[in-house]
Amino acid sequence: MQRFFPVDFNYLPEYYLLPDEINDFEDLLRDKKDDTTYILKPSKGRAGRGIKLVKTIQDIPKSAYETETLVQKYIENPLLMGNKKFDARLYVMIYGVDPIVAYLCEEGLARFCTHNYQKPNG
Amino acid sequence: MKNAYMHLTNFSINKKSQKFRLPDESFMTDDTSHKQLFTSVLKQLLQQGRDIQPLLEQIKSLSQKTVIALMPYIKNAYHCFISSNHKKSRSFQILGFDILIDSDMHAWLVEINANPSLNVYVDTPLPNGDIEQNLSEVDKYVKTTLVSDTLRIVSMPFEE
Repeated sequence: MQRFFPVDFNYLPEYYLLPDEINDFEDLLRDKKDDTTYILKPSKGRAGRGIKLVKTIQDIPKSAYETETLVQKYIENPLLMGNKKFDARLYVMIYGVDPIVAYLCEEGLARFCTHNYQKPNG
Repeated sequence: MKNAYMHLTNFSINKKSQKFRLPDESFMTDDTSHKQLFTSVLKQLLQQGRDIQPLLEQIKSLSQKTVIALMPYIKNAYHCFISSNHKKSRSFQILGFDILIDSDMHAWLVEINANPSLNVYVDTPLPNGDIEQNLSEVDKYVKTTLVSDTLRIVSMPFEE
């Protein structure tokens, strides 16, 4: 979706699905001039297992060549509260099929890191 | 990655940190615990003089677009189980959206969970192999509200 409608889907970090798009991803890492970091997560993963930060081709774990893995551009400038990074877990309830109705729950959880945030280094 | 406690907001990771502070009964006003109400973060942003309205609009709009993008998959999954002449059938699902806000107040959807945790306990493994369960008041509040609101909505008469 993001690739077809880049403006409408500007809320998704740039991503690649491995191993299918491994060549594109390797090309990108080879050609990039900046210090961008990518975050790699196994598709079947849960609870933070198997997550890795990647800057160079050498950083790509073997598993990404075999099992389905999502890599996303790492958001390096998260909004901090008291120097801590956090994310929001919000809930969307979808109801029915045709038509489909969706409700966004007004309350959610903010989950904070326990350590002060620093940009990923090399 | 040298320190996962700095980069990953996953609760399952940070609860293992020495610095982790379990949210208690004061969660409604507490802004120092490692799990807080989303609205309490919004309040803190307001106090910092930030305009939260555009952020809320972004979150609403990204949720709508994501549901639209998911529609064909939901329809397909639904029709795998329920015949299309079965008029009365309804289905519902709670999705967990993980949203990261950057320093420009731009909201990023980093992950969707089709089966978000409804656990209200924090499970801590003990050295003897047992698991100690501590009730997390903030989880209990958010998740029981979520589930009861959901059940209330789905039990209302369906408008054709």
